[in-house]
Amino acid sequence: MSEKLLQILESKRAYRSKLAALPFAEKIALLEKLRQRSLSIRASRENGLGSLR
Amino acid sequence: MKSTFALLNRMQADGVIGSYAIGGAVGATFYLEPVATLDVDVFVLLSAPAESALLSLGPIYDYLLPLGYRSEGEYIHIGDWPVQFLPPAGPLEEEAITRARETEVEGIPLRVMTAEHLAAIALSVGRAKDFSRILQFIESGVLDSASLDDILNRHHLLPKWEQFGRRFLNPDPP
Repeated sequence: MSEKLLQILESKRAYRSKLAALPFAEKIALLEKLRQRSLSIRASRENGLGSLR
Repeated sequence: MKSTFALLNRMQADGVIGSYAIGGAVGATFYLEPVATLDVDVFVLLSAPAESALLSLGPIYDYLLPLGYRSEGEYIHIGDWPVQFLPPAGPLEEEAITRARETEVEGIPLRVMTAEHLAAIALSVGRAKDFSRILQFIESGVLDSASLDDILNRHHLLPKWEQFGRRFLNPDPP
């Protein structure tokens, strides 16, 4: 594994740890945003927009 | 989601449910980074025992639907979220409810399954996303190994845990 890739993986791990350490109320707010995003993506797919790039 | 938490407490106070615990992805988010999910899993002990899981959820529907909450399939919509009420499938889930961790979100009391029970339930269910969640728990270092061992041992999950370890933690070299 290249050093650059190791750096990227470490950076991702650190960011995940930072998110995990947030207060639960803040994580709930993030869940709400993630859900809205997932629903938007699903709606786009159902409308055939998912094939547009 | 806070409206869901407040409603759960009200249902408990009104005797509709006995105890409850948040599980699934929302429960895991208490310990881990948030993961995208479309629903909330609430494990509930009913106040009165019933003959079947389906029948046991009747009082929940009888309570919520007249209040204007809408059901869709196995979900009841509370606020913006579809909520699935789940009676315990066995002793592991029952224990996960009774030993849930008590916390609060902006002043609203809440019961969340322990990380160890969430991991044990994920192991028992055994889908790809459940294994992924167990790996997240391990990587994050939130699991108490003595507590997890105790749960796995009492619920006869040690063979599955060893299998999981061989597959994901110490795979044999190709």
